[in-house]
Amino acid sequence: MKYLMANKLTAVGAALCVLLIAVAALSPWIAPQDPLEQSFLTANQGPSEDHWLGTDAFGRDVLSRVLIGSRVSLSIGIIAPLLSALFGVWAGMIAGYLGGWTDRLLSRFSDLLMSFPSLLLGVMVAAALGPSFESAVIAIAVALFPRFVRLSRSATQVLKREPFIDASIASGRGTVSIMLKHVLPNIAGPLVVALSLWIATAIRLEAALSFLGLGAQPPTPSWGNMIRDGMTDLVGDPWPAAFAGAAITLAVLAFNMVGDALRDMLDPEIDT
Amino acid sequence: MSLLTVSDLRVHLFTPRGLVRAVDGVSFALEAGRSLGIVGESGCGKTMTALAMMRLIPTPPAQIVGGSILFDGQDVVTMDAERLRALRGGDIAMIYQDPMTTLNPVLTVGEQIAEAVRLHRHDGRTAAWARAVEMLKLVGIPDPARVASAYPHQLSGGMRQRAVIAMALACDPKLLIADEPTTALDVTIQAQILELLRRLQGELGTAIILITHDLGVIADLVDDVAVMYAGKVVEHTAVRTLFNDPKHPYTRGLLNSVPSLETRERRLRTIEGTVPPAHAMPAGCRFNPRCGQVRPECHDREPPLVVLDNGSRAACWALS
Amino acid sequence: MTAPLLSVRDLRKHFPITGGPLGVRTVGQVKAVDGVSFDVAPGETLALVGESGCGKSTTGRMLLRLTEPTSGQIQFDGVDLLGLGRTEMRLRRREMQIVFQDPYASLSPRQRVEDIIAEPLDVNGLYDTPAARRDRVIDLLRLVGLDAIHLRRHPFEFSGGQRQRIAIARALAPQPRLIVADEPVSALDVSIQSQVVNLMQDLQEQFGIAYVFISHDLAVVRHIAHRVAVMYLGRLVEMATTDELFGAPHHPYAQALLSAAPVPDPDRRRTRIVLTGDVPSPSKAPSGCHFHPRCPIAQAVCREQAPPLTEVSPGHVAACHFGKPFPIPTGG
Repeated sequence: MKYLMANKLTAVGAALCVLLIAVAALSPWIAPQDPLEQSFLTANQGPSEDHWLGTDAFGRDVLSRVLIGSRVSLSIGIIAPLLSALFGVWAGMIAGYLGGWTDRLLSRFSDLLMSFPSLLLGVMVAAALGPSFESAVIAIAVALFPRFVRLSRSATQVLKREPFIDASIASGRGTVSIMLKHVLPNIAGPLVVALSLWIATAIRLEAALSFLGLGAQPPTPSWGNMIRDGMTDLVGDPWPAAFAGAAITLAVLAFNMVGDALRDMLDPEIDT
Repeated sequence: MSLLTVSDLRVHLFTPRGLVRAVDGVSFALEAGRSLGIVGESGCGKTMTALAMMRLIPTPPAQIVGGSILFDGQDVVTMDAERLRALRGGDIAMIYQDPMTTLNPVLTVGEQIAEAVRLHRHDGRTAAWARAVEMLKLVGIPDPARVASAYPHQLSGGMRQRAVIAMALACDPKLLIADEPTTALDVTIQAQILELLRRLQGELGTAIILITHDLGVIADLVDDVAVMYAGKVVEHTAVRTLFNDPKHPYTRGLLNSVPSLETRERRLRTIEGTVPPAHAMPAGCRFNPRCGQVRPECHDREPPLVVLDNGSRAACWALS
Repeated sequence: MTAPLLSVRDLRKHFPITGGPLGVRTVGQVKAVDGVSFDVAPGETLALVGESGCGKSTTGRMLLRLTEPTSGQIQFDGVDLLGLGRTEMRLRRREMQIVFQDPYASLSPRQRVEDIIAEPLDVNGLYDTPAARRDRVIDLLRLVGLDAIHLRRHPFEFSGGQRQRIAIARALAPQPRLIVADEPVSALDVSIQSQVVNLMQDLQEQFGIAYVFISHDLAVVRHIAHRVAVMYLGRLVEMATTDELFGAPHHPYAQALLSAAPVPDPDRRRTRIVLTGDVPSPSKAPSGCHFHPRCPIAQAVCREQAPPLTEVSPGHVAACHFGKPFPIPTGG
């Protein structure tokens, strides 16, 4: 932890991530107004004393919507990569460790998924499942799946040749046990880095899906559908879209910073 | 005047864990056409010393912080960049443990040797190529004209090391620095390469500095030996004297730990303990925690290199 | 001789060379190990020596089935290992352990010393309580010259020699009867090398463990082995007791190998056999006797027929067409 904080950028990134998650968790209590309360009297206003970030076309408070919206954006952004990692890492380890036909089958499948752009894949899955919070999670998880497979497969292939794996086989350990005990802990470093970088990716994907109307459904606010709603009158009232966009940028930046910093301290020799 | 005179050379490594005195006051001289072996275990500073001769030490973290390296009357430590370029690969050449790191995989062996020749001897293309083939022939490569057109990966390990030696010697260097040149090779190939280096030294009169951990290789090739321990030369003497009448306790321990091919002892003799971590060197003589003849002064002051009655120079309070 | 602990017969490992546009068609074979047979008695050290590509490491790995043999027989304590299923083999493994060359790669960097050494105990359920586990690990640490204070440390906190001691402690943990040691001291400094060799000998005396000691360093082999088998390009070319092999090597390759080993004695410089040519790649092994292109005494017959291993004196076998040691001209 000492080294983690030694790097200022990491500290800032980590602090931002914690802050974002805390805000999302506490947003029902800290949001100044009801994000769903409409008022035609105050529609399309710029920032003011009553509405710090202005109001949208329905007169709803943008600050409150950004705060509440972070719940959807961040939870999809974090749950989807975790779900994806759960399956992808195992698939990659099995492919990398066993090799042969198992590897060819799993690799071809993930190559096939990889050949679609993540967004397109997400759109296809979300459209097939029907727009909802759950389908956004599944869509993003599927989009990230081949990346986890590739990463853990190649890391496992390198690790498999290490003598300490042979020593473990010689001690009588079984295959599944070796993957849990020796492979997973040793490939965990790059996976954690990737996870934080891909949380940023997932936040972007969620925004894109919501923007296309395939994410969380109105009136529940999310950053993506705030931008979509804001797009209808970008000239008259740019505030909802601008602040939702800024929130996305901030979150993506924060997770990327943490990911980059983690990458720099993968070495187990430093982290004691 | 000696070809090479190193005086009080100091190379420090600036690491996150603290200062490491990788080379700490090393002095030696080498006459033209002679060979010097620098022997020691990992971390003793032998490779840093060798790299310093051409100012090739990786900076940062390492830096020459003191001393002088007079080569042909000029100080390598303070030399300007242009003169240094002429020196590297021209007057001083180097060969490494792994020939693949020296050879560029996308150029043919002949192109690489010819390139070096054109750079330093300003020969034309044809002359440089002819020189490359001639050098490959000199190092005992069969069918040198064909091998000159081959890529490094098409050659075996032994042939690659021959090609590297050919490249190193192509510009008639006055000094060849060989850093563990046979360590990566099989025993029978190692014997060939040592034989080759010995023959070439006789024919070309190149001075050689041989860096190795292998006392057998030292015994095979060099005239004089400097034994290094923890950044310092602890003994410096003629090769026969070293093996027949070693003086420093570390040298004696090292020679004793090598199992003999001839006889079988019940137990191998060892040097107890391990080299202390570089950032936690003991005060006084650095060998004192492992030494069997330790005296009170060994803990206080570093012993200087002094000339002994058998002509060796050694740094040990028990001897002076 | 007592009944052998390990008995290897006609062991082979052929790796396919794949080629073709899809990289799946087999276009040839590398005969990494090509018909190797030997016995190891309980408590004995058999050294496998040879240069890179001779198949000594592959042979060692096959003994534990870390590499599956193509064909042949491995009997351990009277049981045919190659006939065992996966589960049975796993249970057998505790009796045969392995120590590797690179003490940096052979210990998992993420584990603590205690867990590294206890792995064979954990896997085989060889203790009843956590306290018993720890006591056993401390015993093992002391056996290899380390201490209980090292229990909670990670491998990177140790020097190469200490790591190799940890690897040896792990190998000792399940009380094996055979340890395959694959170049166990090659990566270590000379002064540390001798410490580890002494340790291995002490452990053998104390526990009667048999070693298959794989090495290219003849001086170390001379010291530790009871018998030596010399390999060249996948085949055994000579096998004898250590004194016999070093005193009266029979096969020209064994003679050359012994003579090529650098000796720390400057007066012995110019009396060695320097072989011409390189060790061929095992994928392009020469016909007949594999050694014939480099052999100073090769005849026409050597190109055509592979010589069988024949007994040249009791317990001393060699594979050369010429029935007696030949005087070989020395170089220099």
